[in-house]
Amino acid sequence: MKLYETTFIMDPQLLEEGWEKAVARYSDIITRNGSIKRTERWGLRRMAYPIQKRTQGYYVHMVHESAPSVPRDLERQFMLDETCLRYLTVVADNPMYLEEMDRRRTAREEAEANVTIAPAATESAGSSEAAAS
Amino acid sequence: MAEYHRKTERDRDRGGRGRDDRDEQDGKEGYGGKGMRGQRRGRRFTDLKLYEIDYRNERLLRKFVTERGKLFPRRTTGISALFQRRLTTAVKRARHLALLPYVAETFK
Repeated sequence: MKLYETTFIMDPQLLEEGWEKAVARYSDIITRNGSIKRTERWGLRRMAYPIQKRTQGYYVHMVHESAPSVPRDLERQFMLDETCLRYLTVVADNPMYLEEMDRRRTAREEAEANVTIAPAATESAGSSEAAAS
Repeated sequence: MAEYHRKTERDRDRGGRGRDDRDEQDGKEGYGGKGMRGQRRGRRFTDLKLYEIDYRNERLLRKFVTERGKLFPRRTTGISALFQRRLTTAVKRARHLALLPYVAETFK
């Protein structure tokens, strides 16, 4: 079992329903011979260059611990799937990245939570926040 | 009596080859130094961490490519060989996922 990261880009025209179906379909392939550690939906975003005449794509990023057959199975399905614009599976060689990003996100959220509480407490806190932004 | 050249503070401090900041014409900081051959020295990424170099980290990778989308050489980025190698694969992966352009037109 190895830790893999799979990212794929779905056709934006599928809309919410189609994207969820795709996520479910590929999740199923992974769980047959592995387990999913996390699923991140980066959502609809502008691509740096058009792929199959699409300028936007729905990005899904998955981290999974799987048998070596899984990337192969995934690739076969991605290739058959015409609504999949692009895919990439790599061995997770940088697990610290996600940890660090999570840590930063929680730190940021905590900071934001503190800011929203502060203005209610004192008048001056509210004005300093306005100056900062 | 022969007039000896008295060592000044400036002479004493120079010691050895290489340019130092007194050789810089004012306002030309960032150029020069040994082996730089006039190449513009980029920002020093001293606080860059190895784990930050990742194909998902689009914001960081953008700092290492030109407007056209080409990678800066190591002499410009000034990062270590290991970092530059990781950076190269990260940029290539990001390009595949259309997070970064292979070629970008300069107008935008």
